[in-house]
Amino acid sequence: MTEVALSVRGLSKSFSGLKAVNNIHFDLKKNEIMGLIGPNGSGKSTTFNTITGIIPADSGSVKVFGEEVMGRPPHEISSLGLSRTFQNTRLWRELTVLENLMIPPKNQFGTSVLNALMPWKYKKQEGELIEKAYTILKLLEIEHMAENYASELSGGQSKLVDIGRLLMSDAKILMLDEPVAGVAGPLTEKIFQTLKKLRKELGLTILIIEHNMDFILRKGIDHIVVMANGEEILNGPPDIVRQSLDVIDAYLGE
Amino acid sequence: MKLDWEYYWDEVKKRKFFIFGFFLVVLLPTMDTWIFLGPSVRTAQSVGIMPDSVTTSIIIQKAAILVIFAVSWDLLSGYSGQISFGHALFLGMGGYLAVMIREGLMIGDQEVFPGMEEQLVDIGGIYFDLSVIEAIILASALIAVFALVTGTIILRLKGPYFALVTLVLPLIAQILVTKIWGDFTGGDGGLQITSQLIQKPPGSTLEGLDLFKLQIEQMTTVILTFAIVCVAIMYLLARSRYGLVLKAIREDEQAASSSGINVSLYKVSVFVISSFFASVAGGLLAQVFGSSTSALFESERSFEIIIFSILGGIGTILGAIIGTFVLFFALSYYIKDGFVDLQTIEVLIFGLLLIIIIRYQPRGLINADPQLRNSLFFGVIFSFLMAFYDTGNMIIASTWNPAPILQKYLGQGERGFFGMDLFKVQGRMVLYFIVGTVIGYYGPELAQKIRLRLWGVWPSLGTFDPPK
Ligand SMILES: Nc1ncnc2c1ncn2[C@@H]1O[C@H](COP(=O)(O)OP(=O)(O)OP(=O)(O)O)[C@@H](O)[C@H]1O
Ligand SMILES: [Mg+2]
Repeated sequence: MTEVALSVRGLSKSFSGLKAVNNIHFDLKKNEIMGLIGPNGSGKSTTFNTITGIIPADSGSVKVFGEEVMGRPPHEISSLGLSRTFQNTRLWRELTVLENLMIPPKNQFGTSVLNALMPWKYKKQEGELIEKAYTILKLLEIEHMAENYASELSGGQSKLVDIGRLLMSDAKILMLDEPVAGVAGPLTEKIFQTLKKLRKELGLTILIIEHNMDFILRKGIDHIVVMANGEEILNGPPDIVRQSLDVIDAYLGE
Repeated sequence: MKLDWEYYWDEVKKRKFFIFGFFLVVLLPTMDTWIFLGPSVRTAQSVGIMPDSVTTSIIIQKAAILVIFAVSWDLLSGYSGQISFGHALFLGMGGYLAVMIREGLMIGDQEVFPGMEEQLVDIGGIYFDLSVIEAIILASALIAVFALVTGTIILRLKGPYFALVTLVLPLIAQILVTKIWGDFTGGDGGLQITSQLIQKPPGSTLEGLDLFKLQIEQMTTVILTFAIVCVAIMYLLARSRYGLVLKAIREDEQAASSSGINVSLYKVSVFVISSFFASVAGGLLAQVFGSSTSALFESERSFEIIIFSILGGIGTILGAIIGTFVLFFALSYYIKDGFVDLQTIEVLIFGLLLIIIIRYQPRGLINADPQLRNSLFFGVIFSFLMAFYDTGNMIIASTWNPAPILQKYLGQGERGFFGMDLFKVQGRMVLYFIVGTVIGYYGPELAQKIRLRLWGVWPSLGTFDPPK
């Protein structure tokens, strides 16, 4: 039996009466790529927010590598090895692209007050991280923007930097909220290939929200959860989801 | 020769920022050498309307202390984005607590604690009471602990609510020290300092004004040392990963915490650090004033440094330093001390400048047009040189005295090396403002260029090439 990386049980969240997320269950197995799909306002992003602790859930249980994380602050959940992007990209706008990538890596010497006073202590580590950041930027084809402020980027470029930030974090579980919305076609393909490659090499587990169902069905994903109106209406391998597409259409057809 | 006025006007316009900076800090001190204005300026100095060397030293002392204070504010508000409108809380606490710790505390006839022993030391010819400095640092450490507790509570508040609380806290403190705890804080009169930081050297024969001048100069040295050390520490913090994380928190707290950053820990830690240095500034300021009074808590103190930092460029440290020096030093030189009875004019002028800057340079002078920036950096350097020249052996008392050296190499005018000059080089009329008399002695154009490059102002000054 493969290990479960992320386990969600009975997750619910209402916003003043509106059931944005209603009793969601799913298991994300280690090394798996899962898609979370559904129409606008179906509660996908809210699911992400409650899992990562950004919004407190009303009820339910979320386990990251077997550890219960409900009610814990986002940085603690993140330190268990779970990183996410936001749908409306949230880069640190007054930081350069490179600086944006330099924040997520864990255990940096220079982040503690005492070490900060001794630059020679963290210079070497910092140099290595900068190199890593450039490799990632090159992969995402934005290394020429490294010294620009994040606020100067276009929407698509911001998305790419956000993914880069995720790749810098050494997280074991990546949660991407519509990572390729607004990214040009060929690059989309490349990003997916990279994610799949990294999954193999680093043993990553990936959860992707995607709006476009046809699109995600073509991407060779292991497992799909379909949400509508806060409810989980389908949960299974792509084949089954594909067969049920008619059902989905009927359900969402209005 | 036909004059092409449009061309000349363009040349002037191109250098407008430079000329602005030049007027701001360099031209004004030289006014006493001017033909028409000179006599009246000299009279003004002799009767104390314009500052002399002691006044200049005191201005430098205050500016240096305010630099510590402004930088500590910038670290908290500029970097981590927790805008505090009442940083004077720590300034005042630092002032009061340092004096109490040094001099002991009496409530009525009851001695709460006795105060510290005098500890006279002699470092590099400066004879001072180490216990005063120890008291300042101890007081600041205690206040940092206080900040740890309050910070944990009030930093939960977001944006405007936090700002509001910080605005109120110093007002409460002011009432506490003047009205409620008057028994041991000295009420409206404040706590008088009886143990001076700078002591009279044993065996010194100096008396009266000479001794006073010496002590003022040594005080400046001590305070500048403090300022350099404190600012260096905060600068290193700001430039490291730590500072970068603070910026990330300022830019987007949720994204930061999703990236594994313990936001509240960082916020509290920067609050503690910032309060520590603000308290150091308070302790020093009390030494300069000779007492700790409730004026240290005035909102004006808090707003002053906010304006300095915004003018200089918020969230850059360097901006806070430049802003404070340019404004406090240069303006109090000419305005506050020029119109002793009209101190409010300072606030008025700062306010106007703030409006202008926010309108035209919202990111501060540090991020401004390179020409404006250059001219201001340049102006600050000159203000310093001016101070050296004015007070003679001010900073490094007997070992190195730049004024005679500068005079020797840079030529001698009535006021040293400042002045304007209009002269001919290789058939061209060249107008040199800044280092006028100096440049005047250098014939070949190349030498001038090299010198100007050394000053870092070549692009804004340049040679004046009239159209053929
Ligand atoms: N912070 C909030 N406060 C109030 N209501 C919210 C909040 N966040 C989400 N909602 C509501 O919850 C519902 C689900 O929103 P959510 O953002 O999760 O949808 P989504 O599936 O991500 O949609 P999309 O595909 O458009 O991104 C929506 O009706 C939305 O209005
Ligand atoms: Mg969404």
